[in-house]
Amino acid sequence: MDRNLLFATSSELVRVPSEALVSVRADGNYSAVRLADGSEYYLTLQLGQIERRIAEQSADGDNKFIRIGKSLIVNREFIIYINHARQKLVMSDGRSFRFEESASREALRSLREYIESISNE
Amino acid sequence: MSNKGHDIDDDEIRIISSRPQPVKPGKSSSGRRLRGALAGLFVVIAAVVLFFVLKGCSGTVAEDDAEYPSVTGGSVSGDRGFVAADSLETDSRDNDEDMALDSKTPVTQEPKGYIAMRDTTIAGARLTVYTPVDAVPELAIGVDVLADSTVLMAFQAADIRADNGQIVSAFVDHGQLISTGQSKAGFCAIIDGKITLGVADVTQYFEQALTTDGYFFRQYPLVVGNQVIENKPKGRSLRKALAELNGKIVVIASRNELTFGEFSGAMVDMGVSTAIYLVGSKSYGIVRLPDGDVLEYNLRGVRKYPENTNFIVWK
Repeated sequence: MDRNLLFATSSELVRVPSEALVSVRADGNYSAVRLADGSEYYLTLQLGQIERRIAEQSADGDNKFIRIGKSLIVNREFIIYINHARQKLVMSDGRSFRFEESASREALRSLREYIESISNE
Repeated sequence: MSNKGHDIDDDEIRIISSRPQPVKPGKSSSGRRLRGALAGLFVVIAAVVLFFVLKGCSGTVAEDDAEYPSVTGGSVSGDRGFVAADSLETDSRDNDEDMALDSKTPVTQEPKGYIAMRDTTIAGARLTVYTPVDAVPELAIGVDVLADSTVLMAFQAADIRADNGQIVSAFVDHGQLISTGQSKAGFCAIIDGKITLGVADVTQYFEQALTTDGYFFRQYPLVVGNQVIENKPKGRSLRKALAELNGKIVVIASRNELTFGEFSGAMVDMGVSTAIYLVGSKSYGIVRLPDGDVLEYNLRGVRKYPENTNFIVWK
């Protein structure tokens, strides 16, 4: 069951249904949170802190979020394209938004294998 | 809380879950390392066994050993992995009998150049840096060069005029003057296989390129003396540059759309001392990486590129 994820700092709060969180990218000491409505929020949280908060607030059995390397967290439900050779990852809901992300080739190879493995289950 | 205190490498992925779940797909890098170590151990054991088996045989030993370097030499010549090539060559020279074989069996030395690639992010500018190592640069006009398998990296160099299809500003191809003009102050000269970047309306390198079968082209200057050069185009686009970084000539490509100023500023921040623009946006580029992967920028069918489309290539 989806539930709201809360990311709060001393000065701001982002509250988002977990199914609407598309990706989080590290940008120095900030994290850029991208949502399914196309909006983007910068939080003064490091990616490791975001990851821990997602883990704390996720329902049992909810493992749709994947940490990719040091700089990226993605919601696997929005992954529509992986090209490890070009280090390209495209996130989209197929209708209203489309984001391109990049990650290392090894990580994207692993991601592809994981996506294929859960698709075959 | 899962994953508390767990570091992660750039090459790894991790499933985030409320329960501790150190899930790593089958071919995680640590798994690969383990398999690599086991494979290495197996090779060592096999080599020891082979050594004792061969030692027990008489007469055929030298002949069998003598064939080994030519076989490995063949595999080396087809491999752009320079580390493996060096180590294999060293092994072949360790055997005196191999030296005799070398004298009557010419070993073709393939170029050992390769392209090193790394990604970085500076102030929101996501950049990929391609560093040619032991590769020889030159210019080429036309898309035929892209079919040359010895090309390790190629990016479009000088702009083409939309009205008449001619190359913008001065261009020298292997000592031949192809076009003239100084509308862009940045220049790249390739003399005796060495790239010189600079900014000048008049430069001796142009003459040198003509008299030494060299190469020369002009583009927008982006960075000179670690300082950003202002350029008129203000729009955002994917950017590429030929740059001098820590004494090495590199190609820097942005992975997100940037203005000239943002792109140049990020390059200065990363330590670039001199940089000129390369054709950006939808321009074509190809990089052959040491592991065999081929990266292509904006492949749209080479037949659609104008006749005078030109490239700076490394072989």
